[in-house]
Amino acid sequence: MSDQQPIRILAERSAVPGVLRSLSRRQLLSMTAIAAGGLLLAACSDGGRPSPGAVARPTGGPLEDQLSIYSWADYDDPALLSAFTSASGPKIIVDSFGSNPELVAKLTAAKGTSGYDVVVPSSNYIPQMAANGLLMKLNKELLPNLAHMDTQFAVESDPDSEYAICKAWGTTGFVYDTTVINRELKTWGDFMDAAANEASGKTSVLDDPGELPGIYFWANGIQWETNDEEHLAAAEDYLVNTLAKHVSVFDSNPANGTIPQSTAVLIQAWNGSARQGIMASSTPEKWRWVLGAPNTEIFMDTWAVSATAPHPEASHAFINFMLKPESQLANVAYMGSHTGGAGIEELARAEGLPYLDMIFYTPEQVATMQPSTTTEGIARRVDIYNKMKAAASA
Amino acid sequence: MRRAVAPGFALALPAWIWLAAFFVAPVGVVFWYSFGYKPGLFGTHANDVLSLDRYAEVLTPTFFDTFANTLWVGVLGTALCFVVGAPIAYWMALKAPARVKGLLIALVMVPFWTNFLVRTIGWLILLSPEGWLSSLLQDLGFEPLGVLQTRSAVLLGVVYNYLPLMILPLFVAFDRVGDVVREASSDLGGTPLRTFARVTFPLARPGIIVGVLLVYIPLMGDYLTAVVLGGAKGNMVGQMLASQFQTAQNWALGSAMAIMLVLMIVLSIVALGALARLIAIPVRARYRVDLMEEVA
Amino acid sequence: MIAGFEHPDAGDIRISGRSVIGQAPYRRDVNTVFQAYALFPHMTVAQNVAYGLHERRVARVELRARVAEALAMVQMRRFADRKPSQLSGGQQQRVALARALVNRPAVLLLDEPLAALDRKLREEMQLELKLIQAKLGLTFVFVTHDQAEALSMSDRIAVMRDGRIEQLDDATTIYRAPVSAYVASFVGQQNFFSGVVSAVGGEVQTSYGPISTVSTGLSVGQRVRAAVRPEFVELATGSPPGDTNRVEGRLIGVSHLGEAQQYLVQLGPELSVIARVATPLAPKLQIGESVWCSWRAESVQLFPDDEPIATGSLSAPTTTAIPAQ
Repeated sequence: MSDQQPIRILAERSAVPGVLRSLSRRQLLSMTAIAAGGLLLAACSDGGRPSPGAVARPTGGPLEDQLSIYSWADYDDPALLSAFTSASGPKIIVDSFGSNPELVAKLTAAKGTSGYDVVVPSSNYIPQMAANGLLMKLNKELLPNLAHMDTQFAVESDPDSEYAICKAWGTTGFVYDTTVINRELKTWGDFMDAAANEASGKTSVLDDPGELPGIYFWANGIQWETNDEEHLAAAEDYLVNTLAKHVSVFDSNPANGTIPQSTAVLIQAWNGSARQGIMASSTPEKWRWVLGAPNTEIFMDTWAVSATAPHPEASHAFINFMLKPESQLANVAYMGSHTGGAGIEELARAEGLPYLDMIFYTPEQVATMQPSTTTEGIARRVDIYNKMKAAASA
Repeated sequence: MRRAVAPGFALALPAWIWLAAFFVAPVGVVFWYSFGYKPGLFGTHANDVLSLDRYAEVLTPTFFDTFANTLWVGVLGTALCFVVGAPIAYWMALKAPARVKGLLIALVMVPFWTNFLVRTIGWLILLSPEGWLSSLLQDLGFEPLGVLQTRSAVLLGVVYNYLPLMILPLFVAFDRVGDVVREASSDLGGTPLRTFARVTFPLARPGIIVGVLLVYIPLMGDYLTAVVLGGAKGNMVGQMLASQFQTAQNWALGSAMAIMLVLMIVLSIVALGALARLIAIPVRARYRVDLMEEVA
Repeated sequence: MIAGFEHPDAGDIRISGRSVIGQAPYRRDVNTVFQAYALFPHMTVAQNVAYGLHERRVARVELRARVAEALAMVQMRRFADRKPSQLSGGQQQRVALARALVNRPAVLLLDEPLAALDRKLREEMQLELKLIQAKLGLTFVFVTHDQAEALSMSDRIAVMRDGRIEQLDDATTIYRAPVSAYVASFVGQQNFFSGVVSAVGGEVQTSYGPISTVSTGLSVGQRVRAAVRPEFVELATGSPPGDTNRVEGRLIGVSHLGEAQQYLVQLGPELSVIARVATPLAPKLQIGESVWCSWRAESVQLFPDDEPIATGSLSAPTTTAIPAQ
C-alpha cells in the first residue's frame, strides 16, 4: 500500500486537479524508495552505467529549442513553465514518476537514451545517483540565482550543490479537531495520549513503515533511523498493542478526505497535505496543526540534471529561472512547500499567503528535524508495519 | 486425423504463447524466487542458496491474522456481490425488453470508464460525517454518519467496485437459459420460485461459478479496494505482499507470500466448492429418479 | 394462449367449462409439447418426465410408476438415465411427449411438435400420437402448418386466419366443403377460375369459356371464383365426350408423386390447370402436346370473388383440433 496507492492516485491527478494535489510529497522519504534506489543503482553499476562524459558540459551557449522534465506529478505551477518558454524559447515537455525507484529505473534502463533533461530526485538519493553517473555535474556559472538559496537547505551530502539544489522540502506533524480534543496538544507524546483517549477509533496515521515507528521514537528521544532491536521492539510493542486499536485509517494524503470530510479527529500528516486539507475544509478554524516535537523529520526534493541530458543549456537556464525569488514564490503558493530560498518567507508574507506557519519554520524548529538516510532497518520496519495493520483490522 | 489436429493446434498457438509468456513464466519466476533469500540491503533476491526458510517466515500469526481478515472480506464481499448482482442480472437477461438490453449492459460497464479511486472519492464525500447525507440525518435528529472506516464500509467499497464483474457473467448465464425451458417448467406446474430453483439456477450454474470466481479471486489479492472506504479495517494480505516487494524490497519473502496466498486461495475455493456440494446432496437425492428401484 | 404464455385481447378460453383467463401457466391443467422440445438439459430423461409430478408433490412410489409407464408408452424406457443431449431428435420428441402426458392434463397442447423431424420419422410419430390419443382419451390441441398432417391427425380441424377460426369441421368436410376460398385453397390444392355468374343454376362465364356448376344461391352477374381440385380433373388428347366442363391447353410439365402423377397444363398466358391422376390410370403424354382437361359440374365449387385466397406459401397457421370423443 505504501507506494502503490499514491502512484495510482497520481495517475489520476490530471483528471482531478486540486482534489488530489500534494500527494507526491511524501513518497520521497519513504524508506522504500531508499532501498529500491540503492538496489537499482547497484544493479546498473556495471554494464548499465551511462557514460557521464558523453554529453558536453554546458558553457552558456545558445539554448536548445526543447526541454524535457521528469518530475513528481503536478509539482510546478504551469504558469511558470509557460513563462519560461515565452521568455527563453525552449518548449517544455513534462513527464511524471511516482517514486524515486521509478526515476532511477527509468534513467538506468534507458542507458543514456531516456531523453530527460531536468530530474527531481529526493535528496537522500543524490549521493548514489551521482556516484553511479546518473547526474550531470552542474555548471554553477550558469546558475547565478543559486545566490538566492538558503544554504541551510542545501543537500546534506552535496553542500556545494555540485549535483543538486533544493526544490522543495517538508516535515511531519499532526492535525487535530479542536471541537473534539479540547486541550492543547504539543508533542508526539500528546498525540499518543490523545489517540488513546478522545481520538480513539478516529485516529489517522501515515501509511508508511518509516513514519509509524517515528511517532514512538520522536516522542521518546530515540534517533528515528535507529536499528537497535531493543528500540524497534519497544516501538513494535507500542504500535501493535496500543496504537493499532485506536487507528481508523492509514492515510498518506489526508488532504483527500480525512481532513476536509472530518473522517478522523487526530491525523498524522506531512505539512503540505495537512495545509491543503485544512484549506479544503469547510470549517478550517477547528483544525490545529502541530509540528512534531520534540523531534520530527525533514525531507527534500531537488533540482538535478540527467548525465545524458540532450538539452544541457536549456536545463541550466530553466533551473536558474526556477530559482528566481518570484518563481519560488509562485511555486510556494502552488504547492504549499518551502522551496529552500532565502527570504521566501518574507515574500510569502507580503503576498498574504494563508497558513504560512505550516510552510515556514524557525531555525530552532528546523534543528529538531531529522533527515531520512539510507537505512538497513527497512525489513524490520515493514514487519512492524504489517503487524500493526493486522492488529488494526482485527 | 493428423491433418485435422495440426491446424487446431496452430490456431491455439497464440493463446498458448500468451499464457506461457504472461502467466506461466511470471508465476514460475515468483515460484523460483520464493526459494531464495534477500542478499543484502541493495539486493532484492538471490537464489544461489535454495531453502524453504522464506515459507517458514511467511507462516507467522501476522500472516494468518491478515489472511483471516482477507478471507472475511473475500467471502462476504463475493456473497454480497452475488446477492445484489444476481437479481439485477436476472432482470436484465430475462425480464427487461430486448431492445434495452444493450443499453443496460453499457450502464453496468459505465463505472469502468473512470478510475475506481476517483469514483470512490464521491462515496467518501457522500458518507463522511460532514457530508450532505450526514447533515441531512443530523437535521432530522439522527447521529452523524459513522459508516466510513468500518467493516460495513469495507463491504460497500468491495461491492461497489466488483459488482459489474458479477453481473456480466450472470447476465450471460441467465440469458443463455432463455425463455423456452422456463416456460416448459411453468407449463409443467413449476411456480416462478420453483422454476428458478430447479431450472434457471442449475442451468445458469456455470456462469454463476464464473461470476463468483471472477469476483472472489481478484478480491482476495486486492489490497486497495477494501482500504479506500474501510480504512484500517480493510487490511488485506495483498498489502503485506506489496510491502515486501515495494517497501522492504525483499522479493524472496514477497514471492513466498505470493505462493502461499495462491495456495490458500485455491484451498479456500476447494473448501467452498466442497461445502456447496455438501449442501446439494439432499437436493440431488430429493429429485433423483431411479426406475430400477421400482423394478426391484 | 391456451397454455397461458400469452394473453388474448378479446374472447374467452374455457377448459372443461371453466375460464382460464388470467390464470398463470403453472396453475392450468394444460401441458405442452413444445416445438423445440424444451427438455431440461441438466436432468436425465426420467427426471424430465418426473418434473411435473415433483411439482405436484406426487409420492415417490407413484411417481416412479407413472414415469415408467409414460416412458414405456413412448418406448423410451431404456433411455431413462440418459441426458437429452445423448438422444436423437425423435427420441427427444418422445421424451417431451411423455413429460407432458405423465401429468394427465385436461388438454395436451402440441405446438408443431413434429416440425423438426424428417418425413419418415414424422409419419411414424403421427401414427403413434393418434394411437396414444385414442388410448388415453385426452384432448389434444395439435398446431401445425402442414395441411396433410392436419388432415391425417385430426378429428376436428380449425382453420385459423388472422387469429380467427375460419372453419371448424371434421377433415372430410373441410376438404370437400370449405366455407371460403381461403379454406379451400389452404387445405390441399385448387384450380381457380375467375368469372361471372351467367345463369341461375350455376353457369359461370370465364375467359376460357363457360363452366357449369351445381351451385345455387349466387345471383346472375356476381363475380366469383370457380374452384376445382386437381384430382377431379381428367386429361385426354381429344375432346372428351359428354357435357362435362372442358378446356384445351398445352402440357408443360409432369411430376411423379409416387401414388399419382401431376400434370401442369397451360391454358393461357396467366392461367394453368393442375391435374392429378392415380399412377395406374395415368395417360402417357408428351410435354408440349395439346391436351383437354375436363371435370364434372359436381366437382366445381363457387366462392365470391372478394374473398382472399391463401397463397402458395404456408404463412397463415392452421390449427387442427382433435377433441376426445
